[in-house]
Amino acid sequence: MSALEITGLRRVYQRKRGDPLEALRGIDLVVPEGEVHGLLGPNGAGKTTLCKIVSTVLLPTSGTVRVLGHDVVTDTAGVKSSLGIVFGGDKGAYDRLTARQNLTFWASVYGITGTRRRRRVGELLERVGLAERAEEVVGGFSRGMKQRLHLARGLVSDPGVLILDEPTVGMDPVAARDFRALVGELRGGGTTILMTTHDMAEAAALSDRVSLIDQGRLVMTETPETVGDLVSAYERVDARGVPERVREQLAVLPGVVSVTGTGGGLTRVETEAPEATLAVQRALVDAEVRDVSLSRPTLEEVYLHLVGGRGMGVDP
Amino acid sequence: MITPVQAARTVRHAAVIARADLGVVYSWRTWLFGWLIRLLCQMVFYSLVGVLVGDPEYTVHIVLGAAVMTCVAETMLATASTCWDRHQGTMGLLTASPVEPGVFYFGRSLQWPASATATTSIALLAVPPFFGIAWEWHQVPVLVGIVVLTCLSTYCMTMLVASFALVLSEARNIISAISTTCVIAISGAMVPVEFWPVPVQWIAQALPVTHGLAAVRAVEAGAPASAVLASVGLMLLAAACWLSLALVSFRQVFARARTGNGALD
Amino acid sequence: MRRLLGGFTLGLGFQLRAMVRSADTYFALVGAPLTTVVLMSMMLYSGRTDLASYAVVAPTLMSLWTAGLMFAGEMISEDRENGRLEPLLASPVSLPSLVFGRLCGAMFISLPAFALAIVTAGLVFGVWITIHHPVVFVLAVLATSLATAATVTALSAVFIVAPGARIVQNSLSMPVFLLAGVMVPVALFPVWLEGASRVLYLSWGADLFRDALEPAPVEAVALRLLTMAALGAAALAFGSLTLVRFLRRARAEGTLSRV
Repeated sequence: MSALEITGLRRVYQRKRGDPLEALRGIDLVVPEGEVHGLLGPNGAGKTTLCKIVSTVLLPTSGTVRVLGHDVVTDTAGVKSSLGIVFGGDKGAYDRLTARQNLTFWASVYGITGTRRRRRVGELLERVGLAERAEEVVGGFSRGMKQRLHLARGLVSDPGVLILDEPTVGMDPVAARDFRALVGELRGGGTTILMTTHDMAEAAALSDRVSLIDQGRLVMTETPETVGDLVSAYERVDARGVPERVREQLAVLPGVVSVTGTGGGLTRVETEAPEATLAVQRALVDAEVRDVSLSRPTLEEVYLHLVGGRGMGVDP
Repeated sequence: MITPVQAARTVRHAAVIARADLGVVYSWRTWLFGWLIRLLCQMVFYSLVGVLVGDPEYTVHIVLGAAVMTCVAETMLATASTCWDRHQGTMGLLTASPVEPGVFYFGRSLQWPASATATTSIALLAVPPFFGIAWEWHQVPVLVGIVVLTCLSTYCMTMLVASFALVLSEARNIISAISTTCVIAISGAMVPVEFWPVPVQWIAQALPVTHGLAAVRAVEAGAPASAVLASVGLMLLAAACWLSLALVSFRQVFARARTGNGALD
Repeated sequence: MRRLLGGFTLGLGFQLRAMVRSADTYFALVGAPLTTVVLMSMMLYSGRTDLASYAVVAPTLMSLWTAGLMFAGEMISEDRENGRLEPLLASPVSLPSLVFGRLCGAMFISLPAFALAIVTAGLVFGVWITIHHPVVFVLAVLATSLATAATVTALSAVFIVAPGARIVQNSLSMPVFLLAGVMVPVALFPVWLEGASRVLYLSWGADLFRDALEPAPVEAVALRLLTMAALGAAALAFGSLTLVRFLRRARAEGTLSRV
């Protein structure tokens, strides 16, 4: 049995003004048990809508979603008891309760009682490194501590499937690293994880497979290595004060995808192979253009380019 | 379907949040010198109207009514605390959890009926003697008992109001203000229920506090225990109906949120 | 002077625009007709229709004070939380006069509140209140509004100096209504209590409001207006001084943006 089975999933938001918004346009995805699946995409791609539907917070417009065999529409109770969710950000805890009280509350909401609950809460506090601060009111916690508490809360029912929606958003690098280490441990424990992120490095570090989602569609599902190769192939060169003649020369070099002016006298050249980048740099040096910088496009830009045939300089 | 044991557990744990909230909203000092004084002033404010119109018998009527209304003003605060989850960011987690929403909210604002039991008891026992009502010692436990049940029953009514406020959370204060004043107007606190047109009287009969107040008046008048018990029985019946409606309403609110209309987070 | 006047008119205009859009305004207003219903029913039930005007005056004054208190409590702390306080202080306007101007703007709420109370008494109970002394009435409205704005300016200063005091903000309404005799005239109180009430400008305002609606001639109008003006001015002076002192200290200690 698959941990997560999504077939033909569509979600349309009716808006008061304007046309209905189609957030998900037919998603098909199967996540086997024990897999850590990264869901990558820019803001507004439909990642959060997908998470909400899987976690029974939102109904699908059409299509089916099964979590460990339970349908999110017809067997909501079954889904709820086999699913843990962690939303990013530092909201979502009762600030006036202690860490232990928060976890105890959620444990009892999930029907865990008595000594089992006490033990479970204690274990989780230990595991996320909050045992020493367990009796402190959450309102005084740092962002990183709150997010660790959220992870503990998501795990309180010992769920078979864990949804992490942008779990490291706003975390400082150290906290994010610790958080990833925790997720790595879970992965070893056999928990199926669906994690959304717009951070390529994060997805690559943690996921068994990565899906790219854009404008409500699943663009591709690959291993992180494959996606990583795609990203590293693309580069861009920004230069200032490039004469029009040189720009024309650059545009016809092999491997150059586009040459655009981004305002302020800045010229951006996008390439799809390292050799092309070298050629561009050489041409610029020959033309005595001094102000040159090299950068790598974000994953978002790369796959927007890949799937849409849109230039990387174009704002999505 | 949720079992009574599960329900009790949910209420108990939600009440932990209620207690923590109360501790933040009030210290014992601000409770005593701020909140209690405010409620007692409100009671005296209405009671003095009896003095103004110059009718001692009517003054007694108002004093008792105003004392019992203390519990309405306070339990109605549950409309606000019901909406607090929306600011805490816990709403999405609650909707995704298997919790029975109405039961959770019943526990989540229990601080108000608890506090209301104290304030209303003080209002009912301490102020009337200044307006010529002398309680006898054996009446005190009876009155406190009625107050406890009236606070809880009124709280059941408040739960339905709170379920509406959860959807219209911007207007939660207006909703609770309108509800409180309407109850004060028609429940027989300031003027007898019979003063109002018949349809309004029917609505008044559906309010738990109308019967709780009737029970208090029966105690004051030295009516037989059966009369007091009858009023209390009617009150509990009304409370059960309100609570049932509230449970259904909270479920509807959560179900509606799932369709994407009326999102709660 | 220009600084003061500029701040005042700026605040007044700002508040009026803000209030139209704020749900809180309507919250403060919705109480007026409902309280009228409760108080009117008591007058009619006890057969004292001669006191009907009391049941209209009280809700109006209650709205006035509630709105003043509400806006006074939130105004500065909201500015502070949203990081608007520092740019405001860096600007050339005077903060006390801006606050006073905004709170004067908030007083315009008394007009719809009074209208709602009158219409409620008329439509629900068929009792239409007549204003027997329109000139006195207008003067009473003006004086009471200005004195209220001045008093809540002082309170807003207290709230910012001692944020803990905001906890009792909501508790401050009923004791004032009672003590100021917005419904039951303080003349009916025991002598010692009446003396205390007379320190509150609102007790003078409530009496003058009621007298303006009664057919009997109104006595000592000028003296009563002057008393209110004096009480209001004292409150405003206290509020302005407290604010200015607070700002000076906050600038010195760098505690302005801290909440």
